[in-house]
Amino acid sequence: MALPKRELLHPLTVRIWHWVHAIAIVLLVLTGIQLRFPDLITWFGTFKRAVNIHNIFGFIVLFDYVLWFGFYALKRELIKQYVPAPEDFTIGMPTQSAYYFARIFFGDPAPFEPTPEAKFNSLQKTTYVGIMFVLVPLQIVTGVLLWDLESFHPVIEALGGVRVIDAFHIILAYIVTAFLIVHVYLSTLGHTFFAHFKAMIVGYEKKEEGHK
Amino acid sequence: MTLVVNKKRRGVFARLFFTITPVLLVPFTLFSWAGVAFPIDKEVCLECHGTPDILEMNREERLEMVIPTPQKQEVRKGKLTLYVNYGKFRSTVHRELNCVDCHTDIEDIPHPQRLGLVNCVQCHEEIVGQYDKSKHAKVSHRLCFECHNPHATTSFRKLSQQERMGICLQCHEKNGHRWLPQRGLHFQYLECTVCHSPEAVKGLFFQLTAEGKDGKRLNLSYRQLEEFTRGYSGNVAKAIDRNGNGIVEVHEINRFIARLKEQEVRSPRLQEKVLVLQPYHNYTDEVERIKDCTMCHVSDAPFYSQVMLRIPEMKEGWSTVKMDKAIIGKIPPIPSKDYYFTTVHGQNGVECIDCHADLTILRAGEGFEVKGLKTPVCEHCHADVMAEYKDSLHAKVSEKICFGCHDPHSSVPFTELSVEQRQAICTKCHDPERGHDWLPQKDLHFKDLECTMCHAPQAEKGIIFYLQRVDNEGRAERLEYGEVAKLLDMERPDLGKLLDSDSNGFLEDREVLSFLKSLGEKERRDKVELGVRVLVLKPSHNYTDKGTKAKDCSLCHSSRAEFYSKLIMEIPEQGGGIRTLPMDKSILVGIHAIPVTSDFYLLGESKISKRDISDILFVVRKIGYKWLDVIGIIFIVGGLGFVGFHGLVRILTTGMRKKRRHKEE
Repeated sequence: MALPKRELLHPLTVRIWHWVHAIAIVLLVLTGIQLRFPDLITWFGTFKRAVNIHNIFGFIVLFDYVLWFGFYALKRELIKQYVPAPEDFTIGMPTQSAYYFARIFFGDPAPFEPTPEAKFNSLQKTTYVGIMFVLVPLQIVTGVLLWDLESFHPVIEALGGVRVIDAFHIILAYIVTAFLIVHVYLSTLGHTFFAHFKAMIVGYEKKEEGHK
Repeated sequence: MTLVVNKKRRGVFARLFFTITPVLLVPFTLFSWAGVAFPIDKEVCLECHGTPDILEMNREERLEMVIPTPQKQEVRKGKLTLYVNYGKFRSTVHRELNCVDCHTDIEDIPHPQRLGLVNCVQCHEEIVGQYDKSKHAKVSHRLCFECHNPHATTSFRKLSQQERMGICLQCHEKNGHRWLPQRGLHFQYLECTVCHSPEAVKGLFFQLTAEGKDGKRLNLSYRQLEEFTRGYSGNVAKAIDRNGNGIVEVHEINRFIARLKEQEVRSPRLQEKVLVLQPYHNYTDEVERIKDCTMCHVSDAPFYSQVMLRIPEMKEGWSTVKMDKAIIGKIPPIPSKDYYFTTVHGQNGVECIDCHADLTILRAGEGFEVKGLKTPVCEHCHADVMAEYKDSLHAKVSEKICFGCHDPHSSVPFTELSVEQRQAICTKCHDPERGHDWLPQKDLHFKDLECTMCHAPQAEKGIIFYLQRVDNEGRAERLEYGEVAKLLDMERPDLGKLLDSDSNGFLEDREVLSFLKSLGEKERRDKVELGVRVLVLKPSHNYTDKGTKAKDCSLCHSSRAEFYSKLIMEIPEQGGGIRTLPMDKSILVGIHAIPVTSDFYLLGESKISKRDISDILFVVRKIGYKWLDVIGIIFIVGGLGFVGFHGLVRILTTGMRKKRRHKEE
């Protein structure tokens, strides 16, 4: 039995960023559902109100994204943390997949332990690079374009019209929603059910030694 | 010559004078004071009227004998003369009557020159009542004695058929019967009133006949039958009706005829005649009614209610004995057609003569001779069918004409024929077991399909739906209007309107399903569902027997089969009728919550075809940007699916992990 090692996994900035981002995304999804199915859902009262809330949280996500990007860029960890290396595809991803789909059920130890230097496993890296470098920026751009169709008219026209922009925004929204569901679930796969949640709140992950 | 006549006349006068004077004077002197009228006996009348001499008198001479009444108009007398043949009168039905019983205005002799009309209604109230209402009375204004001679009337029953016809033929001619098929035979066997007096009671009379020396058929006389009555006190009726029950049974008459044959009577046979039993004096010439051959040529014709055997009497005349009605089945067939007017031809007003007028030989000998038929007359009305059929393989090979397959006397509208009945038309000649060995699921095909589904490629086919109730044992029963109304708990509902709730004249599957649901709510025991049949809607008479066409399964077993283009719902209507509405194809293809047409599935109907793919692409394009939501929902369902699956396995394997941890600790 070794002493629990305590190590700051998530700095405060990242934690604040994460939770602001989380609340904003959830509200964007909820308001987005109402905007997509206005005849079925009226969670936020009128359509206009839902649009306003959606816009506000959209901009929050925009600023939050800039904050995140700036933070990691300044720390020069953007590429190191997020961009998968070749061995991530050849070794990391198969190992990690095998763990998630089979070994985890037998109680085998996780093949990857997050450290402040390498916070994400290969699967996470691949997913997050897609989410944070493609999906979220695209979603922000299309969102902003849809926010003011008048002003961005020339850009929208150049990109193929409102219809195309909207299509991208919608399909990405669905992907984000699906990701959100899986993301929340996967965070229960820590040492304990709430281990990852706690880590994201307090910054430290309690490490249990003794099992491999 | 004149001298002789005058002499004769003078003698007559003298005789009349001497007879009439005492006859007139005696009663007058005796009874006139007492005020009692002397009944004038018919002998008194016959003194003058009983001799044909009265006809030979001239007007002046006759006037001398009566009290002149020049101011009074003479009444019509018809063919009656002043002479009454007492010899004949004695045998009439009126023989018991005195002249003055009818000629009531004679109170005295000599009587007035001109008498009033005799009013037969005193005795014949019923007959006069019938007659007064008749067209005959209204048009001809004929009086009773203008047809019937009351001084020579025989009992109606004793009148021969020819004598009965004679009454009418006094004025009418037979010429107006050109339309009548077998005119000669009708005149030979029937009296006028069989047709022209619809209300008269008629009967079928049989008579024993034999072939005469010249080959003619003759009625057997009492003398010819006498030797067979030995032991029956000379009574022919008793000799025939051996069990004495008053009815001649078939075996009894057969036995008697056999005995006649043994005694070398030449070809003894019963011959039938339709006779009027009780006349009805309301005659009609209304063509519509009389030209209706089915008044008689049906097995429930009115005269079949009285079947009698006419037997010659010892002295003269005839007596009748009742006959067992079973004999009708034994008589040579008459071309009778039952219920003709319920057939499609009858309903459309096709009269017998419309088809049969050009036939000359219908009855050769005693049998119905179909060979007499010339080219089919069907073509007059069914020209299009004939045009199609004429060049068909069937016509060329079989040389069958229309009625080789169809019986025009019992034809039912095609739409009302069941599959079995339709098959029966073909199976009259064709054996379906032959040549169908290649056919998979042969019995199933034969059970549900009519021959022409495959053998008439040009026929218009379709799918018919109807409401049916299926019980626990799977027996299906078609629902009639009344039952549907009961299930709906409505009085006289308009089912068409209820089914086609949006009144666009087209039944969407949603409409049918909700209607079925509302029916099913009331019916707890059995299942209410749609029955289905694939049927020929409009037949084609161009049949084929072979070739790849008929053996091509995909003609039907494909979702592009022809009959899918015509889906029809049959809705029962009040009064037994049926209304049809076109129906949406999706009722067959769709998967529904309640069982519809559970018993109907055509193998192959769900196969995807090239056309389906293009249909799908069309739908894909039609959905357009809505695909975003579909795909998006798939993503979300995928995400949830992963979470659900992973979480479930995690929960299931919790025990395993705990065990392992314990072990390690």
